Amino acid sequence: MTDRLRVFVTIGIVLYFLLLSLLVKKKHISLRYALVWGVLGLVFLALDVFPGLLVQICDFFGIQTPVFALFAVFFTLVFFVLIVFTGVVSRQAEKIRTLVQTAALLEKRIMNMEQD
Amino acid sequence: MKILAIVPAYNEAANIEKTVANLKSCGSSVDYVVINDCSTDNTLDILKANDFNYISLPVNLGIGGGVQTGYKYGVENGYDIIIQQDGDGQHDPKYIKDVCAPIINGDADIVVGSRFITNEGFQSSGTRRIGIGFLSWLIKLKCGTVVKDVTSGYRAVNNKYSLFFARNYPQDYPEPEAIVSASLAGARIKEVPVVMKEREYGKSSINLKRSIYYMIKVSLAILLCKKESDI
Repeated sequence: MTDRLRVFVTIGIVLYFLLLSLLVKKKHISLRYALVWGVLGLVFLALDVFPGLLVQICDFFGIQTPVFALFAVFFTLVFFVLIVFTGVVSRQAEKIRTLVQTAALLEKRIMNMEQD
Repeated sequence: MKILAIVPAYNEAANIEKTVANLKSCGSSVDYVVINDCSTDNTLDILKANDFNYISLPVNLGIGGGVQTGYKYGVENGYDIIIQQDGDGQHDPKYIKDVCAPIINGDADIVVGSRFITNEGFQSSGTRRIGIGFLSWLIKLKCGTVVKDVTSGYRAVNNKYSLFFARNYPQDYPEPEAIVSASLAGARIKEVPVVMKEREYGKSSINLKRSIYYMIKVSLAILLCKKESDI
């Protein structure tokens, strides 16, 4: 990875953390979920600060250039983050379903009481 | 014995009046509740205007969420047998006594009204029958239960498994998966012959385009279904 690329990656990571903290401050995303994305940013920061890590990844997986390794790490981590959030969405869908059913059943009880 | 028929209805304005009238013709021995799944047509207006017994979901949950609401209502109100009836008028209430009989006699926990025992009445298209046959084979492979008409929504369930379904009911395209989950939980499942009609108005929710998704989703759901702990 060239020094120039490292500078751009550093700027990108700083902007990324600024955006994350802004979204948390404005309560557009909760801190709990921002932390998942924060971990992803920290991994990139580590790869940026210690470029030797990328070389090691290249050697281990047989990747020819560190930039490709960077992309590979990026896609893998984003993939896992998406899996985590798919789980979150699924659990929330279940909670919403239960709430909707409970609300409808309560409404039915109120209707019955009003009729009595 | 208290019997409840649950009728899930989504945009069934054209069918719901007749469906409920048919149910009422069974006499006072069977109560009913229509689950209006946030219909966008005037199903709700019809339910109100006719003073039908209904529950209206504020958000569309799909057939699984609707049916599960019916089970919750049935359990809350102490029904002994809960029957599922489609809101499109395909299910003739005259078979209610047939689907209830094995439960009353203690021979079964769940009874499925099947089109494929006497092969009378509406039989569905050839391709759908092949799909149903495949799912039936898959269910037999998974849990050893033999049910020919796995997609039939005409079912009767005793109070023990009504509680089970109130707690765990599969969502999108739930019928085959419900058989597997109940079977894995130890339910005795029987089939009795019924004659079904073709829906008079409106379209089935499963069109040709969705069929591939249906087969993949339901097959995976059957294979991945695991025994629920809370029975």
